[in-house]
Amino acid sequence: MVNSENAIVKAECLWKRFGSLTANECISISAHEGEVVSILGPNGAGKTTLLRQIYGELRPDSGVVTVMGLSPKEAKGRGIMGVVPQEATPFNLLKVHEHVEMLVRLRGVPRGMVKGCVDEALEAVGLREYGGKLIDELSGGMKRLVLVASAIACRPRLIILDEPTIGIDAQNRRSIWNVIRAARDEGSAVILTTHYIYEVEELSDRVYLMNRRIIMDGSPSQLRKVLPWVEVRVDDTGEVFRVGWDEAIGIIDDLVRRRVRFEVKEPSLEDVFIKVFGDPHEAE
Amino acid sequence: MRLSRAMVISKYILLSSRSWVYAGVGFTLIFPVLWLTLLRIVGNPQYLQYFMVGTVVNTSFLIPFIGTAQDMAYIRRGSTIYTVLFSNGADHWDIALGYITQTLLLTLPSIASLLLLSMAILGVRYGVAQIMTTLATALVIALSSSLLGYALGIGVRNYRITNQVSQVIPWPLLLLAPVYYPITILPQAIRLVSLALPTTYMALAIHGSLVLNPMELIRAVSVFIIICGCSCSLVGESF
Repeated sequence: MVNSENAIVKAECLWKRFGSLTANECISISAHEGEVVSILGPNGAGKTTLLRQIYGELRPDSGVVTVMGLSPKEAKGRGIMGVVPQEATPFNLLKVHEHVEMLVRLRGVPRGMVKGCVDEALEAVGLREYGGKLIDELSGGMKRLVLVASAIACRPRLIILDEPTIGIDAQNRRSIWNVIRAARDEGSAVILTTHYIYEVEELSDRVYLMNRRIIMDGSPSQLRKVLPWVEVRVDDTGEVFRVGWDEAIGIIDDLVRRRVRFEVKEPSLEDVFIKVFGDPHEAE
Repeated sequence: MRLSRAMVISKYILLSSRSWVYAGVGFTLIFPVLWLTLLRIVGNPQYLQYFMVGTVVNTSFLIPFIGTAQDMAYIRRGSTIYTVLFSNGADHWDIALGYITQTLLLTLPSIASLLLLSMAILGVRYGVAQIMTTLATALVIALSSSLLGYALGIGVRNYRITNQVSQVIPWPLLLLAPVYYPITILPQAIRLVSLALPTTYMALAIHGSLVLNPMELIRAVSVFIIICGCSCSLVGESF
């Protein structure tokens, strides 16, 4: 378990209502130095509302958010956060390097460091050669990369990425993953929301499953253990056995003796997600 | 609020306006030349002073008001640019001050060009004091108009409504106020209505600047200070 001493973000029992709709019910989360924390939940689960309270765009109805011991407003003022908001588009009429430079300067980075930070961030997301291009002329995926570069430039202590890889092709998604890992390795805390569950498995040190309130949290491997089964698929017959490990060993033993091709699959985070939030197709 | 952040926002919004360079040249040069030439050909010389007042009011009120209302409606409600700026370090007042500063910087050359070209084309004579006073007054008018536009732009949730309303509001403000002609021409009923319109005091302020009448100027500018105060509190409420 991570020690709460080095928490970059601490949210304690946040409540947020919009009229009669309660978006967040007593949500407590934390993110620590060198940690990637993912927030997973179905559409309308209140993930973005939670993030907006962390970066100070919304005030919680009750509860407290602190970022390195400061209020979100103070933390923003000190340039601690780099954020890619949900469905964000960059300022299309600027050039790529100007956009990154603008946000770096808003975070109060000293002038002498700005150019180096901008170049490094553009290099990291693979946009170095597009620095002088007008953002308006880029593809949708590249525009997302501009936002990611702007958020990670100069390595803020807290990086908040609300669905950063939507609409991005596989290669560029890998670039973003590398950027997230590099930020973590250098001690930043990264809070991530995404609908790509394999992305969460790939990147996260800790995952919160939420639907207005936190339902469970833990590392991806801890969450996978919630499902006590393993799946044995027999290639030749197409049979699928979803059984406990003890029983699976017997089945595997038998398949090996019969020299039948098979594969064994442990539960994925997606299986946990479906278990926790239900399968809409089954409901139909 | 930090001035340095507001200036960063100003700088990059100004940079983004390079895409509107043709409109900028149009408002700063082509419009004044054509308009002033037209006035010289068909304008009644008796009202020349009022035409100048009206044109300066039109430029310092209309463009900052409509431009700010529509831009801010888009920035705040029609796109995520506001959220990107806000979440990455700027606070609400940084964005407001940054945006309004760039509006004033873009408006100033149009007013200066209008005054200088009027001397060349209409043959009117303004001294340095008149030009400087008029520029300062026009800036105050542009500031109060831009603040009103800002309040409208961020206050209304539906940005399409703001886009339309911001184009309609100036009509009565410019047509019912004695902007291009003396107030004595207006019928009594409209004269009373015009006293409630900010554009009436804008015209008074510009007239006071061009003829260097300090009393007229001070009276009118004090109205703008009230407008600026009200707009600031409306803007603050909208955050």
